Amino acid sequence: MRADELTGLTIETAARLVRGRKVSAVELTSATLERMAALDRLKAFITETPELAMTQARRADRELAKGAYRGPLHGIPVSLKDLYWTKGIRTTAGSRILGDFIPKEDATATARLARAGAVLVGKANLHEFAIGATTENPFYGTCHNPWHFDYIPGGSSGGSAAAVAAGLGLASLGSCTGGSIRIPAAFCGIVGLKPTYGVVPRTGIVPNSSSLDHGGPLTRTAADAALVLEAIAGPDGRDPSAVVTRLPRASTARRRSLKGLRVGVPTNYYFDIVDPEVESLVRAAIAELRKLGARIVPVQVPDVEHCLDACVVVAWSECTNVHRRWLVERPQDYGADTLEYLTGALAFRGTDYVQAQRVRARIRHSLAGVFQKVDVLVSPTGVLTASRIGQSVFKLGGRSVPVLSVMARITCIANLTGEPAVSVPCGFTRAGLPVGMQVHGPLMSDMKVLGVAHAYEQATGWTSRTPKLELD
Amino acid sequence: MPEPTEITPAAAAALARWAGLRETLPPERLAEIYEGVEETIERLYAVDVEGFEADFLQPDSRAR
Repeated sequence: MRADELTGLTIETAARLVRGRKVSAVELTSATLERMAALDRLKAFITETPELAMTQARRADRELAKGAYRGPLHGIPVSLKDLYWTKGIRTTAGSRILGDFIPKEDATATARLARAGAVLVGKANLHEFAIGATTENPFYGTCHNPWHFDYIPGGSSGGSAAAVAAGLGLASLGSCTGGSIRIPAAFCGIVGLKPTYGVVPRTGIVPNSSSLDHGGPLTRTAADAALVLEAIAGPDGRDPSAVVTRLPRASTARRRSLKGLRVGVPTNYYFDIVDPEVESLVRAAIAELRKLGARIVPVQVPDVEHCLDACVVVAWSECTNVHRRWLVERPQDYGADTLEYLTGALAFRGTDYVQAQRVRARIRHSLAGVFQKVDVLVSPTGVLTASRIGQSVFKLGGRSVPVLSVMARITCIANLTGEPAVSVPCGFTRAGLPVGMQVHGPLMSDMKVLGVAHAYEQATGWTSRTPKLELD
Repeated sequence: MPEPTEITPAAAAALARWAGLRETLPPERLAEIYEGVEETIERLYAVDVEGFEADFLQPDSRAR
């Protein structure tokens, strides 16, 4: 196979080829590393790990030669957002403050990927400390959208999304506090899953907001996301918020029919402020779900208009608690936007945080009620497509809105409730920018939301499109 | 919902110092930031939360 064919595979296909010894892990990894060198201008990575990758790939091939197969990630090149601890490898969180931080151990998810046989090709770029949604990183370079170089990839897991979309690894792990997996997935035309809160241990992930943080996969397809999730899910005995209940197997996400599934389409909030092209593509996707057998149910979703405010107060309060010492002692080492967010959050009082958590409890109660009536909710992932690099304010509904509020308007809902939500590509604007549809389900329905995304992918084929990139 | 009070640059600078920050941002910008914070908080206090307590730290009880 040609190098560009190798780097364009899904995990499912690559795994079949590797297991059948039609393609070696070394071939896959070499092709990926060469492509990374040729697409350095995207700034998708903060640290590349070619020596480790080749060592892991050779080991994967040796094991296969002896008949030892670890599973579908055996020999598969992947990356990690650079806030997952990697033993002996710099983990910056996209910051100057942690610019020299070399962890003494792996994050739980890092170790589980390695145990599953995955090959680590690099640490992906991100918005500083995952506090923001553009991945315009002042210290490690602005990450670019592979579909359009002048546009952002979204964030905060922007490097992860850009890498997967550009064929620089077949999966990446991101993290999400208000939408940081689904937003960049939507902007880069790939799949991004925020699992149920606590399904993926947060151990060894540089924290943003303890009660809102989630780790999860970014991949080409929903079935690939299920495979990665299966490899990293489950309690580790160290994260106190870990869910003990186990998810169904990844294979359950490979559904083709949606017959009988109640798909809720919100009649309030979600479509109130949305780019017309985005709305049109998402409505067309909903019509496709109906063709697949789903029953479309218009549904009112109470209280979601409070989500952004609650998310801001909870997230920034918890985040600022983590950062306070650095804020006081090293404010000059923060990027401008991060410093402003955290400075504002220092003014929140304890009682404000409690009020935000009580509002959050009300929202969770409301969503639980909605999921008595429908099996999943579908909506746009973002109300806009990717913006131009440098744009910080948008006009929406006649008022100026900061970039983060626009982007997280819908995604932050599932962070507050802890429920799983996936973004799946549902088309492209006239300007050629990808649009994502979000599928959001009740707690522990991770494989079900991936199943809906998978059935949609199979019917439409958007996920097979890849950006045309000139190699340097 | 009460009208947010105007926060002067001097008051914003004092608030930042009280929170432990050095003078890292111009007082005028601090005032804008803190006015935004106050608006957010006022909107949250307008939500009726009677009967709701923070319960997010029981993931497995939610999962069942």
